[in-house]
Amino acid sequence: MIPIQPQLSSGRLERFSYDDAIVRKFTLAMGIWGLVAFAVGLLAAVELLLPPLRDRMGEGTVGYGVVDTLLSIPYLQFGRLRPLHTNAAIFAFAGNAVFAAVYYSTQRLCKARMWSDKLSALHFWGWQLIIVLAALTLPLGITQGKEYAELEWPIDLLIAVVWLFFFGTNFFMTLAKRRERHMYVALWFYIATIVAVTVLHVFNNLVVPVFGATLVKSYPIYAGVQDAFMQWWYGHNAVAFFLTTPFLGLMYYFLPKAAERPVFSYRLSIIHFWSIVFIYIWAGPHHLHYTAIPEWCQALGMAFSVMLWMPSWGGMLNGLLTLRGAWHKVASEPVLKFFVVGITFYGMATFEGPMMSIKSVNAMTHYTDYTIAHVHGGALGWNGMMAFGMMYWLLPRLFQTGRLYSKKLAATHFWLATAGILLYILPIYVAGLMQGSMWRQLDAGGQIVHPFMKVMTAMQPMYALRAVGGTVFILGALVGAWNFFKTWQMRPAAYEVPVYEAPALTKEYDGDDAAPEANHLGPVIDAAKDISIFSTMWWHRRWERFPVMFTWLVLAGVLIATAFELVPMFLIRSNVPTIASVKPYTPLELYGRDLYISEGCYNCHSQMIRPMLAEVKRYGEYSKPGEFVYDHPFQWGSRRIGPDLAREGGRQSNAWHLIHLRNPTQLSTGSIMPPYRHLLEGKIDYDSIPLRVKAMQHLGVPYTDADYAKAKESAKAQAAQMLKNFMDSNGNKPLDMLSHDGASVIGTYDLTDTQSLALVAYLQRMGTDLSKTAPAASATPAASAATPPAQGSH
Amino acid sequence: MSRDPRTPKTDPASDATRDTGHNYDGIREYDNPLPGWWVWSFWITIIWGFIYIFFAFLPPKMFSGETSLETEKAEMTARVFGALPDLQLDDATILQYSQKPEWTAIGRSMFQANCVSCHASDGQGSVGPNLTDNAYINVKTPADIADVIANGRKNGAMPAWGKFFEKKEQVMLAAYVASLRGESRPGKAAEGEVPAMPWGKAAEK
Repeated sequence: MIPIQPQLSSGRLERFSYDDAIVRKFTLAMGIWGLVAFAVGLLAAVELLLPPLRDRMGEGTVGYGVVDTLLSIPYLQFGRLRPLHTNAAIFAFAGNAVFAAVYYSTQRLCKARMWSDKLSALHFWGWQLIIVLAALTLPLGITQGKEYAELEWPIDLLIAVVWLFFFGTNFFMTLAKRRERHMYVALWFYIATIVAVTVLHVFNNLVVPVFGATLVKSYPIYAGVQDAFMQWWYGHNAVAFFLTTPFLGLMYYFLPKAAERPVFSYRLSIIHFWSIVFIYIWAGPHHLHYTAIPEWCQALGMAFSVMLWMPSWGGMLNGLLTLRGAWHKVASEPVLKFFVVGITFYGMATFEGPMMSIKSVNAMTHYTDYTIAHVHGGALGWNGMMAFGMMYWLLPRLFQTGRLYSKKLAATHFWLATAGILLYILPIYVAGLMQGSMWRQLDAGGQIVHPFMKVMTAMQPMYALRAVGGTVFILGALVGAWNFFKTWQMRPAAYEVPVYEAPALTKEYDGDDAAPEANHLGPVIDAAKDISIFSTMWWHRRWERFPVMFTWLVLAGVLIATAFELVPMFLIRSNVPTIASVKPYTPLELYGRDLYISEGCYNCHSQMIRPMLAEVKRYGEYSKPGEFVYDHPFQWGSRRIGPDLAREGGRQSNAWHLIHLRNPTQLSTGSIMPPYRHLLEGKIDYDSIPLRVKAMQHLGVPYTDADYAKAKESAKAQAAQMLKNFMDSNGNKPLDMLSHDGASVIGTYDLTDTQSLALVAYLQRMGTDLSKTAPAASATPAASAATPPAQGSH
Repeated sequence: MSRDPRTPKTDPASDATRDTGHNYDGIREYDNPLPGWWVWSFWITIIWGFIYIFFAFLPPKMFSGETSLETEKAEMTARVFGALPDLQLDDATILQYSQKPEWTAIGRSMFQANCVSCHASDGQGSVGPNLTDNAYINVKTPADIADVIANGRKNGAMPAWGKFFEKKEQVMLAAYVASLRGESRPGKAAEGEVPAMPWGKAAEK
């Protein structure tokens, strides 16, 4: 029995032990999923190198055939793999790290075992099930098409249950049963995490499911501008409340533990915690600068992002300054090495974030690789290093070995990880700056200087270096896995479960801090003194006794900020001026759009032309809010690995698109798009089309009942017309099927009723409505919607 | 409250008066005052933020991309084409500009940015026809080139580009394409017919 320092309260003594088995599970899961997430990321990075490599080997060679075969496996293509990578990194790797941190530290900070071992287990296995389901559905192309919210509605429901009812209940009940009077700052951050993520997850995933026998599919209730707003309110704050607040909580527990130093400043903790909670939520629209989102919204996003700089740095300061007097330990202690670099990356990322939110900077960095470098500085540098630091601190304690298998190997891991991150991000920063400046360059004749494919070709050396950096980082992680395994092998035959003793909390408490003394001199000076006393934050101490109040305050902070942006966004009509000529998609186009989402095209192609000269020159008239009113979900994208497609309709012939899907580099030299041959063979699921139209009808898209009734025939007719158009322009010859080595014709494609026709129908529609003249007032909008256009292409 | 013996004496944070006395699972907290530069930077960003929001909400939309785009567009057009008179998309104009390298250079840039994925890097053709031979599918005179560019042909097999380019740009692009005739770059086999009217290299023979 280990007695713990008695409290002021005088409840009866209680005996308890901590559940470390659950922490062992989460730590192991973190390690395994981390390796998976890194490996999938590396594969995705390599895929961007493969098409040019294949073409350099030359048609007819074995190498060409091998690479081409790999590139054309639909389940492994970049568009489907990238969501798997991001979801695995965020929710599987970082998620399990957060849970390990929360379960280990909360019990100790509360002097209480987790409220329910059953809920702990349900949480653990439920979360792993979610990850497995994600790993199965995303490669199959089952996706909602919104970044970091790709998982379809049944999995979303599971997430809500596991997060709120298993994790949330268990955590809050542990707080309720705690034996420590005040909550330490780490717990505040955990509370903010649980509350905010619940709100974000629920509101961004409100969807109408499409019910079909073999269909897991849904459409978000929001469209276009509103959907974009909701998505980046979610996307930005997922970074805030899934990757920042819980990791700050982790830092506040494990850093002072490892450094054996007191936290630098209690009052800084208070101020930066509350300012993060109240400011972060506003900043989401900075992901949508210069898009069709209203001007006022962009302004709020930018201003609050800049205000967020110091609150974020508050965490960095409290971390780094806690090490005062312990810097000599950093040299010998790998755990501290990981933490120091992690916190430094946090400082870098949270300076860069506000900087990139400034519109004129964003004009240059947005849609480029700069963002990719930024997020990897955050994800690998901050989340990764903090998670690994925590892991090395926990291993000897969880496995009761007294020491790590090898400190030397941990240091090796540290250096490999640091070098890997730098090798990854530096070339990608350069790539981003090159893209930003090449895209905008106009020559003396006012024409764009660098065609898109030229820019992509220039990226190849940087992409290659990135893959090298990723490999080095993974080598480090493998060294870590070995160390993990060897430490685990040193565990005792049976784990000791120490029993602790502490008094229960009593209802009555009279130990609250009094306000600091001040000698009053005169009225003006008195006011200054009052401010000065107030700003010592002495009054906050009382709050730390009330978890429920904390929860309500965090919830209020999140909801109030959200309401300020969300309510005007949804209620003020002038935010999205309607355009009479913009009509709903035809049933075939709608199906093609769902294919576009399913293939993850948005991972490389944006659909948002910003009002900038070079961009208008390159892509056409800039995008208007009214063009997206039927887009459930919006597909504006965040990155241009391929060109923007907002005005793709009519820019190329149907034949060009079909040949391009067979092998993009045949037509676009320097393209890094994989072949989409499975679309040239996969048949359209016509039976599902009326279901999709019906779901859209529920969402208020003006399809008539007649449209619904005729959806199938209409789609078939348009597909036939598309095919006829292709045959006409291809001299009535079917499309040749080529061998994987590209050298011989091995047959022809029967394109009848294939998915490629639906996808091309959608591509040919994109952005064309704006330049059409509005139909006469007598024509019902939906009548024209369901009727295929007179011509095969617009 | 007692000072950690491992702490160097010079450490200001070790001042016992700054120790809050909090102890959570062995974690203690100092109560150091906030660094001055941090506090001031925070205030400055907040004040700046609200000033920015105030100006952004004013009607002139001073930070709007749309507002500046219109100005930039007008300036660019004036700078590049300001000296030229109103141009017509007719044979004479197109032929006239097809012989002026400083103007076909604009057409060439446009071609490189928009046309090469079908007509290949030097106009030798891939999905689209070879533009450097002597034969054309839909063209009898240079003005037809401009018409094909603006309105497309064969149900979108050749897309209509009219809405993407200004009129004078269309002249320069047509002039550049016209200038390719007879360059005879190795590529796609000639298609269509040889127009009766000579121009480009065909005119020199």
